[in-house]
Amino acid sequence: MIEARGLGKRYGAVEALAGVTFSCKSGEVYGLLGPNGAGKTTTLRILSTAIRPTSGSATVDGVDVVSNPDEVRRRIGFLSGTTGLYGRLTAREMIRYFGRLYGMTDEAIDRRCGELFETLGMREFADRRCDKLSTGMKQKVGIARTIVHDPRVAIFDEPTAGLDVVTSRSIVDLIARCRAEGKCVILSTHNMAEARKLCDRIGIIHQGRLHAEGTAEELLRQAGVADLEEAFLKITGAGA
Amino acid sequence: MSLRNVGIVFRKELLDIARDRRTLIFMILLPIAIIPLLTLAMGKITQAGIERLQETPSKVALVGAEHAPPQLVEFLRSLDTADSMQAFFGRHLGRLDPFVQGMLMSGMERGAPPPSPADVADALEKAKRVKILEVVPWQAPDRDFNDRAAAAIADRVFDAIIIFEPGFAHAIAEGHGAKYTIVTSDAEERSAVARHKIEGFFELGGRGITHAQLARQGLSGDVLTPIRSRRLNVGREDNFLARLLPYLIILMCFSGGLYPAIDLGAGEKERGTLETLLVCPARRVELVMGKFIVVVLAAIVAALLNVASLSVTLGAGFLEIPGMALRFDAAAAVVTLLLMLPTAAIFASILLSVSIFARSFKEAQSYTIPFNFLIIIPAFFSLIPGFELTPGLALVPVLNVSMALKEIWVGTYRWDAIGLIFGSTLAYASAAVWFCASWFRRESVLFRS
Repeated sequence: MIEARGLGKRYGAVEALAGVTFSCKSGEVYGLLGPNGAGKTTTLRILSTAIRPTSGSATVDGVDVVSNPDEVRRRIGFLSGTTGLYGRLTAREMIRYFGRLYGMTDEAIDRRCGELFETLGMREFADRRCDKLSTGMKQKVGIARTIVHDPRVAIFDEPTAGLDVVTSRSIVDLIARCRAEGKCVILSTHNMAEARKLCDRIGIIHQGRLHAEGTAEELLRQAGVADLEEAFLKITGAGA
Repeated sequence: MSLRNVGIVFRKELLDIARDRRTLIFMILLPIAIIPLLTLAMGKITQAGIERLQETPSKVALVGAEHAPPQLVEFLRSLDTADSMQAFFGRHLGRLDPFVQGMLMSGMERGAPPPSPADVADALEKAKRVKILEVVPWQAPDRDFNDRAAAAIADRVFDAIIIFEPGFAHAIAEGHGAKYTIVTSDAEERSAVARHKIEGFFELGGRGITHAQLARQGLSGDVLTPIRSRRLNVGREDNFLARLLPYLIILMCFSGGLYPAIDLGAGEKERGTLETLLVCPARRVELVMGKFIVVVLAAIVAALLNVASLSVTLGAGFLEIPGMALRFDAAAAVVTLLLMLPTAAIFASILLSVSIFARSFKEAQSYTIPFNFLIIIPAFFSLIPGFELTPGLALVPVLNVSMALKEIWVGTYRWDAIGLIFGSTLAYASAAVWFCASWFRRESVLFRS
């Protein structure tokens, strides 16, 4: 579903990403684990077509992100931890706006809104302005916005960073639902526990390079330690 | 480019800014209510201040009153109140010296008949008030006279000092060569007002003397003005409103687009909505165009509202201001709109480009300041009297539109120039829009960190 081959990104003399290769199948949750500045956000921005790679290539659902970004965008839902909302629009208007931009008809949007509001428990605040919502409600609006067009691929950049337990729980549920629906999910995190809990496979990324890849157990075995944090430090050599 | 997507973005952005209270205040309420009110209030306050200064008796000291005719001194002393003036007239009516009569009667064009009681009543009503506080004998000014006088005026002891030089009364009787000195500090407004009042009295007094002399020789006052000019202007008058409004409409157009542009560009970054928007299937050019149209609309609406409210403020309707008549008919409205649309497009492109480059609202606000000056300077040319539009200047953006509007609003249509200006402005606008759209595709602009 997602294939990244030797992705690289240079900003002048700075190499933010130095050849990252990995893949993610449908029904699988793949996590990019690494500290701040490791290249996680850059990777996800390339996959979501926000920026172009300076080397390497990537396909999403078989479509090339550089040569055919418009097609790729139709197939992905993108949510970052810092995703904001338009405060002066209501939750429904916000979701409808993006639904329309994804080419959905108003009837299709209304139908989908009905489902999403039901499952996410958003009915009571659907017509309230976004700037009047609590953090948890806002997060739900962001989630509904991300999957309004029922994308085959979901990309989450630091989805639970800075969120409280209750709110991050709704994200965890969303990721589980996406997997159950057979979507391909890719996310980034610097939280080891979260990566272990959410992801089928984890890629350890550090200083723009992918250092190791596998299930949490495989990574622990490979590093010969019992704790993912230890494994991370050992694999990247950052602790030495 | 999908027009559907442009429409989706346009409608959303319009709804978004229409719900913003700041937009309503800055774009609609401020121009239509506050600017006229402020102008009116400022005018009233200024006028009230001037009137108060005129009506308050100016405090004056007389030096060397013994050199002046007694009736003149008595008259000056009576200027304090209407009652004291009434008393003065009671004593002297029918025996007024010609210069005192002149001082009172500004309308003494034809000889100097004794004033009627109605004239006197009128003069009492209109007379400027002066209060003589102190009368001191003449002395030659010593070295620190100026300093002492300045200090007395600054301390509000006096507003002015009148000094009658020796021989003043004699010269008055001779009919020429009478000299007095008026000491004021023009830095103090009340002192300057006192000087105007006193100079006015003596000027009229001098005229009274001349008229009396002429009357003695059997001549009318008309001999003083052997040639009179009459003005007949058959062309258009210099029209201040026509020069001011283009400048204002251009400025308001720019500032009207400013806030929405910042909200639609830097606002997306600040709210963290930009990335989400960029990875949706709508193409960049569609996003830009939707936003761009909203900014153009806001700029045009702001300009029109401002000009409309200012016109009303300046004189209740375009066509009824004497000396400021504008020919603002349907043709003028259409041409104005045709010229302002591409101008607004240039502004909107610049503002959106600056706004999307900025990382935050605040940054966008400071980045737009230099552009403000860049617009003000060429727009200002409409205000310069006698500045003419040449074919070369017709290609200078903003300046050309400002000059063209000035001509159109007094009814001058030079279609070749208008065509050139419209064409060049449209070309600049297209370039600006193209730049803005490509600017929105640059990673280094969208993801600055």
